[in-house]
This record gives sequence, structure tokens and C-alpha cells, in this order.
Amino acid sequence: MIRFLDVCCADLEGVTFEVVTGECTRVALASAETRSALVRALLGLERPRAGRVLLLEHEVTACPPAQARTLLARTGVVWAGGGLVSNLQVGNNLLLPFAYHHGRPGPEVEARARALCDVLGLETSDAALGRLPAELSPTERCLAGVVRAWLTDPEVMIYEGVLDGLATDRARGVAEVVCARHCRGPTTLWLTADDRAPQPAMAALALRQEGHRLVEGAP
Amino acid sequence: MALATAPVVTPRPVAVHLLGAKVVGGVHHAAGSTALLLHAVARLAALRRPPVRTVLLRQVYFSGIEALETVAIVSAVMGVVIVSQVVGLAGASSLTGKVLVWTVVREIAPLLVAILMVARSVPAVATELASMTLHREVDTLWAAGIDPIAYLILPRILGMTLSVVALTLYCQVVAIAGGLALAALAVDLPPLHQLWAVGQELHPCDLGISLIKGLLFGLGIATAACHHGYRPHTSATQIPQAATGAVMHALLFLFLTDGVVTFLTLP
Repeated sequence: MIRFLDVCCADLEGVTFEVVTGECTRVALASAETRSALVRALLGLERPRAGRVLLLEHEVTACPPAQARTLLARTGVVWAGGGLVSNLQVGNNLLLPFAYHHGRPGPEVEARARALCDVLGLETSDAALGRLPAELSPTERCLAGVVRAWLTDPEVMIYEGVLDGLATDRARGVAEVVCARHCRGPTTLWLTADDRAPQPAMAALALRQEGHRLVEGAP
Repeated sequence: MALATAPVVTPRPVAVHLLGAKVVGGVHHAAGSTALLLHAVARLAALRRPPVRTVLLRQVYFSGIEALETVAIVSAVMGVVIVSQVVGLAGASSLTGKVLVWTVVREIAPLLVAILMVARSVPAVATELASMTLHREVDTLWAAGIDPIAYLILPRILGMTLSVVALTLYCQVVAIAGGLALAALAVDLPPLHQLWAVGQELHPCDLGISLIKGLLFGLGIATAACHHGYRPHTSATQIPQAATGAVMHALLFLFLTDGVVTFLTLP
């Protein structure tokens, strides 16, 4: 469950919407800054100027750090650009959150990571997984971020402009794979600030500030 | 009218103002570093998590094992130089071994290793962390439920500290061995006799003090590196600034601490 209650952050004033458990929602925003601000508010990285943001029924900014980390461990986030750790090889990046929360991953987890890579069309050779994030293309970085988030089986998935700026056939294929997975998957919030980028087919909402008025509706 | 009632401000001399700013900055830095160190220590339990242990081992490898060669060369040369100076001043005698203990074990080894650490690891750690904060990788870790202090700071501080302590012992052994080898080869001082003189002079207390120095130096310089690197950065120009600041503060800490510990442990 994700809930924004009368939230003011970035150039948005009084945003109210929710993604109920098991539902997938795509939210179109006017700019990458606004998109980033919503994600940061949701994850407790920034406090909104006003209003409340609830993730899994809790306000992350109001939680003690340990509780916030527990909440975030149940959440998968795919950042624009993938959000990989730059000094870790791709393979280690994929397994990092799992290893941190559940202990050293066994061969079955590594096999699952490779299978998810295959689904998304990411190379799984040892050489490919041994590369550093800087050696990947932007699309590959995003896909690695998706695999990393999926591997922990999160209850909530947040995609922050994952395919924005990537209007390629491959990106369109990724949008379809994401959509297919989330038909039966976790609560999903897909944020985008690029109308031309491929989007997964899911319930859509546009949040745009026009003067002092917040416009909501289908994008 | 407002001008008439405004308080008269006497401009302070620029030097006083600058000095005050330096002092305030130093206190601010010391407080921030101490807080970061305490936060890291409070997360020692995170060492049971495999990724944290991996970072710790990588830090020990980078700061400790990769530095072995450099420390060995510098230590051996230092031992040779000290012995040649002592022999030149006092001639071949059992004083050589004693001077080696007084200088190398008590004073030079911890300081030398810490300075080498400041040159090698402090800028590397500060730059790496500054780059990670600039590119919001710390936020990425937080969003994945990973405690950035447990994952980034704790293993770096611990790894560097362990490396300084271990390298201090290593430096002492190599410097004494190098010095005694020169004494045996160049001035025909029997090595076993010199070794006996070293053993006679070497008290557990000396070793203890040098290891305590190593521990304090390691904690201080590692914390300075992490504190400068882990601060929020918004521009690429702040990355080299973080490295420079970390090196300067680490050196300052090093010499101040060395002075204080030496003064407190004077016989």
C-alpha cells in the first residue's frame, strides 16, 4: 500500500493518491525532478513540505531508522539509471540486497538471478556479470536494477523513470515483461516523466501542476 | 532614525576572525568525526552480514596487505639509517640495539605506518565515499534497506584500524631486522648479541604503548577519511576537496595524538 495524502513536494502542491495492495499504477509527471522528489519522499529520503506519505501503512520519515530499514527491505526500488553501486561488479550488485538481508546467497539464488537476467535479456556470462556498472549501457544498468529489486521478492515495487529516454525496441520489450510480471506480482508504482518512453500497460494517472491547480486524470 | 539607534559594530581584525573560523571549523569537524565513529561502533553487530564482512576484508587487503611491500622497504631503510647513525656517533656497541628499541618501537614505527596510511588509503577512501554520495549511491543503499553506515563506514574504519595496528608490528620487526642485518654486515656487530640487547631493552609496556598508538592513529585517520567522504556532495569539485581535507585533518590528528600519548607515557 502506497498513499500520498495532501503532499507538497517539488513543484507539486496537495497531491493525494494511493496504490492499494496488489494494484499497479502508472503515474505521469511533468519533470524528472518531480518524479525524483516523489520517490525520495516515499522512501523517507526527503520530508515533504506538507502532507503525509505512507509506505506499507507507515510514514518512513517518522519511523526510527531500524524500522525504516525493515520497511524498505520489503520494498524494491528501481532508480532511473539503475542505481547500481559503482564499485561492485554487476553480479555482486544483483545479489547485494539479498545478501545483506538474508545472508550469503546459495546457488539457487544465483540461478534465479541468472534466470531473471535471461527474462529481461541481460547477458549472464561470467564475463558480463563481472563488469562494473560504468561498463554497461544505460538500458543494461536499468535492467540490472530491475533484477536486483525483483530478486528480494518485495511486497512493493517502485520504478522511477526506468525507461524514460529509452525509446528502443528493447525498452518496449522490458515494459511488456514488467507488465506481465506485475499482473500477479506486488503492489507497483511506475513513475514516468517521459510521454514518449515505452510504458507498461497498467492503470494510469497523470499529476501535473497547471498554475495553482493540480490536474489529475489519464495521461 | 534607524541608523542612529543601530548598535555600533566594531570590526574585528581579520586575523582574529580567520583564527576563530578555523577553531570553530576544527571543533565542528572533531565533533562530526566523533559522532560518525560512535555511530559506526554502535553497528558492530552488522559484521555478521556477509556484504559488510566482504567490504571489511577488501579494506584490509587494500590498506594492509597491499601496503606490505612499501612498509617493508621503508622500514628496512629506516632501520639501516638509524643503525648507521648510531654506529657513526657511538661506535659499535650494544647501544645500537637499545637505540633501535627506543626509536623504532616506541616512536617511529606507529607514526611512519600511520603516515603511509594517510598517503595511501585516506585519499582513496575519502574520494570513493565522496563519489558515492555525489552519485546518490548512498540513497540507493538506504532505499534497499541497507544501513549506509554499517555497510560503508564501519568496515572501512575497522579495516584501516586493524591494518595500522598489524603494520605497526610488521614495521617494527622489519626495521629491527634490517638494522641488525646492516650492523652484522657492515660493522661486524654479532647479530645474536644485538638481538639479545634488543630483547633486554624491549619491555611489554613499550609494545603496548606502540600498539595503543597504532590503534588510536588508525581510528583517527580512518574516521577523518570517512567523515570527509561521507558528507553530502553536490559537485565533482568537492571530491578532491574531500580527499585534501581528509589528509590534512588526518595528519593534524596524527601529530597531536602522538604528542599527547608520548607526553602521557613519558617515563
